[in-house]
Amino acid sequence: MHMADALISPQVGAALWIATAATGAYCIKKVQHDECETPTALAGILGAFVFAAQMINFSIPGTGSSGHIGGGLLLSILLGPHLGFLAMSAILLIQALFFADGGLLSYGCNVFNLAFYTCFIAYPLIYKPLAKKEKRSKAAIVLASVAGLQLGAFSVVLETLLSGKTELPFGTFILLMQPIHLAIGLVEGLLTAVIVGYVQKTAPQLIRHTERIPENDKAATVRQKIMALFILAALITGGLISWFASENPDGLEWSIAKVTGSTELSSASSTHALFSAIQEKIAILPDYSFKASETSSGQSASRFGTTFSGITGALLTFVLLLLTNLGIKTFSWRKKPVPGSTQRDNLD
Amino acid sequence: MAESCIRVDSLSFRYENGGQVLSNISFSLSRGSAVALVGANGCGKTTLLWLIAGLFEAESGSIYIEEILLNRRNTRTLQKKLGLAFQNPDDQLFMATVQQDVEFGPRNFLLPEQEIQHRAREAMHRTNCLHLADRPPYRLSGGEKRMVSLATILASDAEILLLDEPTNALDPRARRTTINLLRSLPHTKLIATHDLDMVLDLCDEVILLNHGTIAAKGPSREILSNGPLLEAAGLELPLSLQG
Amino acid sequence: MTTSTKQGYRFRRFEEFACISSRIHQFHPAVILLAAFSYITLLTSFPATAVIELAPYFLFPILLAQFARIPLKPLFASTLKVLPMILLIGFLHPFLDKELAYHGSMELNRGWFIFISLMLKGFLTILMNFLMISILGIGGLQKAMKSMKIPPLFFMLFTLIYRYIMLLLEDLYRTLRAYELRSGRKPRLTRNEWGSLPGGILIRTYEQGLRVQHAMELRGFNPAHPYGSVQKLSIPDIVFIMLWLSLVVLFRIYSLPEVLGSVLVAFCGEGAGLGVLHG
Repeated sequence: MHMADALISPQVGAALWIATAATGAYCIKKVQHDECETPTALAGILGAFVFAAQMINFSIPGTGSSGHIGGGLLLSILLGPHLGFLAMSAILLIQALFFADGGLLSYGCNVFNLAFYTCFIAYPLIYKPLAKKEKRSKAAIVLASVAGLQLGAFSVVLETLLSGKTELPFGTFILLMQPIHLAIGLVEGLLTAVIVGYVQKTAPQLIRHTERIPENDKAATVRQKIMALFILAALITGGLISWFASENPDGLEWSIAKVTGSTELSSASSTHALFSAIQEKIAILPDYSFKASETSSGQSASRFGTTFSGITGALLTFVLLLLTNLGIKTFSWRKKPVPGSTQRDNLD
Repeated sequence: MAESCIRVDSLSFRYENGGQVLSNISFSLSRGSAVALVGANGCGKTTLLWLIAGLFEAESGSIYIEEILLNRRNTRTLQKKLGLAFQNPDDQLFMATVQQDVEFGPRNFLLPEQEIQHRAREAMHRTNCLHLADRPPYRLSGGEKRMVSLATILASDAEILLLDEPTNALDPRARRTTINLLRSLPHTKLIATHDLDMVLDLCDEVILLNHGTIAAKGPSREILSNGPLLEAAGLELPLSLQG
Repeated sequence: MTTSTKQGYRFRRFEEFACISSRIHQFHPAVILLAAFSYITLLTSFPATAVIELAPYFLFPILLAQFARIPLKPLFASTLKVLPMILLIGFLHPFLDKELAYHGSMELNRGWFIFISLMLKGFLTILMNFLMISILGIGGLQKAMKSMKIPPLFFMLFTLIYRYIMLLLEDLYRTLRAYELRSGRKPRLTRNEWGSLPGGILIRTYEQGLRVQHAMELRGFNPAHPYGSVQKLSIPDIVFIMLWLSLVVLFRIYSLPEVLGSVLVAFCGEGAGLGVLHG
């Protein structure tokens, strides 16, 4: 799923770089103030383990292709989501630099696709709520793994199409990416579940190093379940229901039509004309559909375009909400002393 | 009476999931002395070194480093005086090149750049590792790794060396080089080892551990020539003393 | 050669290239990083159908490798091995996009132009990436990170993962060889072994991780503190990067093949005309 530089435009690459850097900075702050104090060396070495584990390819039955463990979920379970994200970022950087598995420009995209979704969506919203009951923990791992990979694969499609480096139709691209990553997600989930199961039996102290799941925090559980439901609802609404969205003018357009005889006002001044021209140039999805839908067979391209914009809109809204939330939390943080940092010169 | 560098009083320790590892351990090391910790596998030698280095907290008892009681608040400060060489040098060599590993300690103590380089150069020179400076640690042989791990703690300017099996897995020549090097160092040394012949060569005193307690302590030759005592502790006479 | 030894060999080869003595190797690591990044960014900013315009971009990695005394053959080979991934995305275009497009008088399906452009961009970006890492090595990368004020926590994570990959690959190799010798067959994990084999390695890894953490703390490690001094930029560094950026931007704005082509045509056209006059 690693994206190469050739598939990314500078704009998309830069945007995801910024998102990744911001997430990384947040994680570093969180780790430095973390009361659990998971050791850096442990994170580094487990990161190396995940890197080595990624080299073991497993063939996926019936597809003729192979996959390997991604590791984001495993790292989140063992290290917590923040340190897990940082460890995955470091792994992906080594892969990009030394193996060209992913590139420099597309590094932000790869971190987002492979680390963000597993550490901050699959792990807290799917794995943690389900894994509270031990007998469900294996299923939780598999579901979380599949979800993380599906979101990541979908992101790859979005980022590639937004970059305009390929003329592959959205439908074809999705059909190429999602099913194969579903299979990979299942295999990864099963493997991760088995490894975590073994570790839980033989060395349970490893699992306890993660964020402690608040057993009595019912409010947190309910919040997480509601969030998960909202995400699913947004995706379903954006993706499927939008197909059946009415093409009749909305309230504003209807009003304008009644008054002027047209659904849009014509621009009178040069300023309006200038901004209209700019908007036409930068609007990726004018009127919630693809620009080039006239060149392909009309209705199916239009439908896919609507689905695409629906899902994109939902995801972007969610990302914006998350970023706003993170921004608020970061600015309202009180600095706690780092354990051990003031001990150096404190002699009894 | 010589000033005590390390003093351990009635120390006891138990692991979270295990039995009692150390029980009522008391001894002291004077400045500049070389003392060996010997005993069978699992008797608590490494655990004792780790307790003195402040990596674990004792169940009961006290540890004094240069007459300062080791506690949670001053661990980091007192650790500056100690240099612990791990049983497995791969646990200790974690940077990309030997030079970086040797410079790691001085850098974290925020010394000036010139001082860092001077210390690193001198430590590598003493341990005969200068030619390995740009090599990645994983490309070194076992003997070379041991030398480099010694260099890392010498560069940190530790006054007290805690050495865990320093001659383990070394060929005879590398072993001899290590022993000669350790003999030349003026530091206070506490050495956990199975190499009883090295102990006879290098150490003034021996502490014999048996199932987590001190079975005997005293001059090396006296303890290590006592066959029945060693046998009771799961050991044998050193090769050089065997018939 | 097993996968683990192949990957180990790759790390070592980059480090050997990074130890070569050349003027390029003496530049500030951040400058090399910026040069590679700017090259990749501008290269990927070309339109999807750009083919001829990409030609001048071959000059950069070839000349840089020459000045850095790094052999191109192994880098080419490594780059070609990674290209199939881009091929997977690119190969559908000639079949899906049959709109005709023109380059000068050359007429082809648009899909072919996109495919060729993708492959060329892929090749050049990967080659530049490998070249950069061959010049910097892990030491140069670390210096570049320090000069860019990357937080020590991430810096240490990166260093530790790099360092312990080798150890773990060796551990993995030994474990799989032991499996092979004791089972009498190639390592192919059964369902019962999926948990215990990787799980066992993971637990050993965890315990080693704790020991390494202790070793770091004993030598004063504190992730909140900045790590070491930063190398300053010199005049040659600035001259190099200004020259590099100017050329990379120039070739992005002006298509060198077209400029050279039109100069040649103008020259030959004049010559042909003279020939006709005198012929």
